Amino acid sequence: MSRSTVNRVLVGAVGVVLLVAGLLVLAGGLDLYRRLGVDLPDRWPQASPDRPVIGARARTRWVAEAWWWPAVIAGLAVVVVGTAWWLLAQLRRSGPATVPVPTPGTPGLRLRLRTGALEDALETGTVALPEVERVGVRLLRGARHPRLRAAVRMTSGGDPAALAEHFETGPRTDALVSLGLSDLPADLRIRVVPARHETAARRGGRRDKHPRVL
Amino acid sequence: MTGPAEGEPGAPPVEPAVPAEAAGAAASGAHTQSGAHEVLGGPEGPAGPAVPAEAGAAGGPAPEPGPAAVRVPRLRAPRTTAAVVVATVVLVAAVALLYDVVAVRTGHAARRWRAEIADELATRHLDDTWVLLGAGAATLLGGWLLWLALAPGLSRWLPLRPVGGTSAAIDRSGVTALLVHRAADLPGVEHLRVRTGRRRVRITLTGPADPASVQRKLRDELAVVGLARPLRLDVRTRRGRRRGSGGGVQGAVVEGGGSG
Repeated sequence: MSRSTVNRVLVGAVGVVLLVAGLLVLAGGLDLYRRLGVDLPDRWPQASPDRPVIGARARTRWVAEAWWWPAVIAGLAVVVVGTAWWLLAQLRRSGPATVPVPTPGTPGLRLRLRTGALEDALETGTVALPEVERVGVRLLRGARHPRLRAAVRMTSGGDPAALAEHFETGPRTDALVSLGLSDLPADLRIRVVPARHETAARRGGRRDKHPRVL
Repeated sequence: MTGPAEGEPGAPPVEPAVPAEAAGAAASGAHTQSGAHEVLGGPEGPAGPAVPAEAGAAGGPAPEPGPAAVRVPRLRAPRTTAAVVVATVVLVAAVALLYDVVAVRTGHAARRWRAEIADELATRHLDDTWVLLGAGAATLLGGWLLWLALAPGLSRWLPLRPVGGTSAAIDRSGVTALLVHRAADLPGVEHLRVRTGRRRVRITLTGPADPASVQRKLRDELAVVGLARPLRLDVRTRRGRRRGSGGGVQGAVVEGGGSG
């Protein structure tokens, strides 16, 4: 499961717990069941507004049992370890540290390239493309293959479709061939430098709220 | 214009409903509509990431066949920030509770915060104002987290047609900037306001320019962008909003579209 899926499932689970608990208390506290004439099962929680939030029966039902406190401690420990792992997974850099480089003709040699060096090379190749102002390239962990993520700032007169094609035939194909990979999918995120910044730069840095367009 | 190539193996198949050459010819063909300032720049689907071009044929009174829509998988946000916040809150609460439970089990007294919370939960009734406020807040927060978990997010990115293994996307304010840049060369446009949404671009202009011709030019520019799902383009003129007299202030207002 990808990190995005784990994040969404866990955030959704916490959301559902909060939502259900909040709705139960609201329905009981506002006496919605009686006003709407809903018949509830006997053990329905928080059914009546004149009861405490956690009733006496719920508080004392299991406290006397021998397994209760060990179970609470074990459950909390599982939650602590699980959320700590989850938190660390967000902070970890997602992607391989190095990538293997094929060395045809020299069977004894194993060569690995640092991911940062690969990203630098791809950034150099991408920023040389026409109409590109700034580039950031990251190598991410994909499902089966590594995955490229390139964030590009394009000048405002640029052509995004041509840029995507140049990136496909240029840096991505170069990386694919030189790494000997069967596939290296890439996400290209294109932003455009707003026209007013260019106008302001032409006027010597003075920024107008309404630059002339004619 | 580039024809859609083979997508990556895991991606849904790319479906060009109209050949790229035909789409380009249609987009650049001069089809003046006097009076009608609202022309379909491309097919617009009621819902979903993309629709085939046939579905757009019934979208307006005089639809122009724009570039075909291409099915691309919707971008999905990884939800890192929400995950960090939720994990931190749950972790802090669980550590505090675990520490206190273990302390009580090993013979120490419970901390005051836990005794107070337990006391309040056991004595306050459900119709207490604070209980209701807390429940309302929990409901809203839970609904928001559920929304974060289910909604795809990244709505400011519009996917382009995939080229080989490259799936590109452009942000909505980027489309706005491209259109403003193109409109700057058009004659008769004094003031221009471009708002780019996820399905359509609304352009309000002031000046003597003919809206239909402005629309045609900007639609060509929009076709060059090569969005997987073309945007609808509305051009409206607004008169009587000249600022000052004579030359007036001529400018462009750039807006990045709605909320991200």
